[in-house]
Amino acid sequence: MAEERFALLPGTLEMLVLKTLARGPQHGYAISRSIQERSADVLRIEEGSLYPALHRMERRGWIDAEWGPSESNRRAKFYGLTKQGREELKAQTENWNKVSGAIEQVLQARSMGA
Amino acid sequence: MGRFLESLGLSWRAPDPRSSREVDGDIDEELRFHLAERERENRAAGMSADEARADAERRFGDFERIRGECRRVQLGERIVLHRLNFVLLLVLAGGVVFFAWQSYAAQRDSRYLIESMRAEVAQLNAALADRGATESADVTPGVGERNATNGPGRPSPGSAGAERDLFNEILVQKLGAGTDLRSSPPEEETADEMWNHRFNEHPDDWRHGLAVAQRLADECSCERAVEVLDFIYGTLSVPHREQLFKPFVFHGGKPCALRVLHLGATDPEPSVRARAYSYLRDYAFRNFGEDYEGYLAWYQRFGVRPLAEVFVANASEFVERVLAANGAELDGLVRNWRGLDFRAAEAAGVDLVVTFRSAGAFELAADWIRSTDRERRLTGVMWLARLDPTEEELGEHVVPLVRGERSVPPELFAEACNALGKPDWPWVAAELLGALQESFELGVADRRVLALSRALAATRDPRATPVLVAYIVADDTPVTIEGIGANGLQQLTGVAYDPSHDGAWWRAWWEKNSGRLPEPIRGTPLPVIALRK
Repeated sequence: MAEERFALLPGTLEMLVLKTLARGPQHGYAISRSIQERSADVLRIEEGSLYPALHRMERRGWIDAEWGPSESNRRAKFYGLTKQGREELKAQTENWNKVSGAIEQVLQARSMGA
Repeated sequence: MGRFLESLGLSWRAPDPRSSREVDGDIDEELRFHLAERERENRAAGMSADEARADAERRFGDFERIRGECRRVQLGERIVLHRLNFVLLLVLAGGVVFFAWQSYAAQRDSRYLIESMRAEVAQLNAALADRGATESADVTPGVGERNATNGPGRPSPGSAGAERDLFNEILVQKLGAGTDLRSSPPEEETADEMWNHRFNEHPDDWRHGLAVAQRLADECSCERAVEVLDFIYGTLSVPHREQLFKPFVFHGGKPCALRVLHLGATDPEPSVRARAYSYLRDYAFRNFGEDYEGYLAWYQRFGVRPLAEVFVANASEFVERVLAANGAELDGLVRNWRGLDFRAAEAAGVDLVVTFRSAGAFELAADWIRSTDRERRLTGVMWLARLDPTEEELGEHVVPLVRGERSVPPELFAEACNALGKPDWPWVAAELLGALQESFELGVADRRVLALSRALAATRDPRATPVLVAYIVADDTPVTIEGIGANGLQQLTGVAYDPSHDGAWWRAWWEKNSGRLPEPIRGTPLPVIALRK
C-alpha cells in the first residue's frame, strides 16, 4: 500500500527550513533531504519550490548564503541562519505551538461532546 | 511594512550589487546542482541514467517556473525600479518639452518687447534732441546738490541726461530679463564625473565602493579605468579607497593593477596604504610597509612592465634572496613568508609554481623540513604544499611527519595533515587512518585527532567514515567526539556536529544509515577498534 503523504500547510515551509538550518549551514539539496527524512517522508514538497522560499528568506535577512564546495566537490550555495532568522524561528515555533494546541483542544472537545 | 514593500518587489535591504546576468547564472547553477545531486543519488540507488534523470526532474517540479520565481525574488526590486525609471523618464521628457516650449514663447515675447522698446528709445531720443538746448538753462545748483543723495557721479532724475540714463537702465534690465529666459543648456556630465557620482552615492558603505570599483574594472578598458581613477581618486572616501584594488588584482588580473595599486601605495591614509602594500606583497614578494623609498624605486622599475614579467622576475629574485640569506635575515624571511599567495599571479594567468620550482624553492623547502629548526620545518611544509607536490614528493617529505615520527610538534603535524588532505590520491586516506591509529596507540590522539579528521574530510574518501565512527564508539571522550564529529564526520556525512553524539549515538546512526551510504562502505559493519586504556 502506498504511504499517505500530505502537502505542507501554507507558510510552514519557511519554519521547517529555519529549523533545519538551526543545525548548521546547508545547501538547498541537503535542506530538502533533511526535511523529507525528518518528516519520515510524510510531508510532500515539490523539491524545486524550496528555492524561491530560500531566496525570499535571504532577501528578508533571515538567512544568508555563501558559495562553497559540496560533498561531491561541486560548487554549491550554502545557506546559514542569521540572528534575525533565529529570532524568526523562535517566534514562528511559538506561534505554531499555540495554534496547533488550540486546534487540538477544539478537536478534543468535539470528540468528547459527540 | 516590510511585507508590503516585498509585495511591490522592494525590500529594506541594499540592492544586490551583482549584474542580472550574474544573478541568473547563480540561480541556474544552484537549481542544476540540486538536479545533479538527486540524479547522482538515484544512480547510486541502482536506477538507470534515464530513470535517475526523469525521477529527479519529476521530484523537482517545473524547472522554468521555479527559475522564474527565483528570478522575480532576486531581481523583482530591479524590475520595479526599472519601471519607476521608465515612468520618471516619461515625466522628465514631458518636462523638457514643456520648458522648451515655454522658453520659445518667452523668447518670442521678448523679441516683440525689444522691438517695441527700440521704437520707444528712438522716439524718446528724438524728443530729447529737440528739447536739449532750451532745457539745459533750467539746471540749477540746487538740483546738483541733490546728486549727493543719489550717490557719486549719478545724475539726478530731473535732468535730461538722467532721464535717458534711467530709461536705458530700465531697458537694460528688461533686456536682461529677456536674455535670462534663454537659459544656456546644462553642461553634459563627463564620464569621470559619472563614476565619481556613482562612488559617492554611498561613501560610507565599503560594499558599495567595491561594487562600483568592480563595475569600473569590468566596463572600462584598463587605460580608461586608470584615467578615471586619476581624476576622481581624491574625492573618494577612505572605505572606498580601501576596496578599490581587489577588482583589479584578483578578478581577472588587470594589466593596470600596479598603476591602480600605486594610487593606494601613495595615499595619505595609512589604512589605504597598508591595504595596497598587502596586495603589492603578492607581486613584489617584498614588504614595503616601512619602506616607502624602497617601494618608489620598485615601482619605477616595474610599474609599467607587463604583469607576467613582474611576477616572474620578482618571484625568482625572492627565491634567490632566500637562498642567499642566513642567520637572522633568513629567520625573518622564514617567519614572514610562511604562506605563499599566488592568487594575484593566477588571476593574471601566471603559474608561479613553475617559477618557484625552477628557482630552487622546492629543494629548499624539503631541506627545511629535514632540518631541526621548528620555524623552518613549518614554513617548509607550507611551501611544499603550495608548490603542487606529486604523490612521490608527498610520500617522501610529508608522510614521515604524520607517521612514525613521535616528536613532531602539533602545529607542524597539523600543516603536514593539511598538505596531505586532498582528494587526489586514494592512498592518502589509508595513510591518515594509519596515523590516527598510531596517535591513539601513542596516547597523543587528543593533540592530533582534529588535524587528522580535517584532512580525512578533505580527502572526501568515504572509506574514512566507518573508521571515524568506530573511533568515537571506542573512545567517546569529549575530545574525540568533538575532534572527529565536528571536523571529520560532519563534512563526510552531512550530520551537523552535536556534543551529545557519543559512541552509542553514532553506532545507532551507522546501523540506521549505512545502507544508504555510497559504495564501497554501503552496508558494511563498523570496524572494531580496540584501544589500550
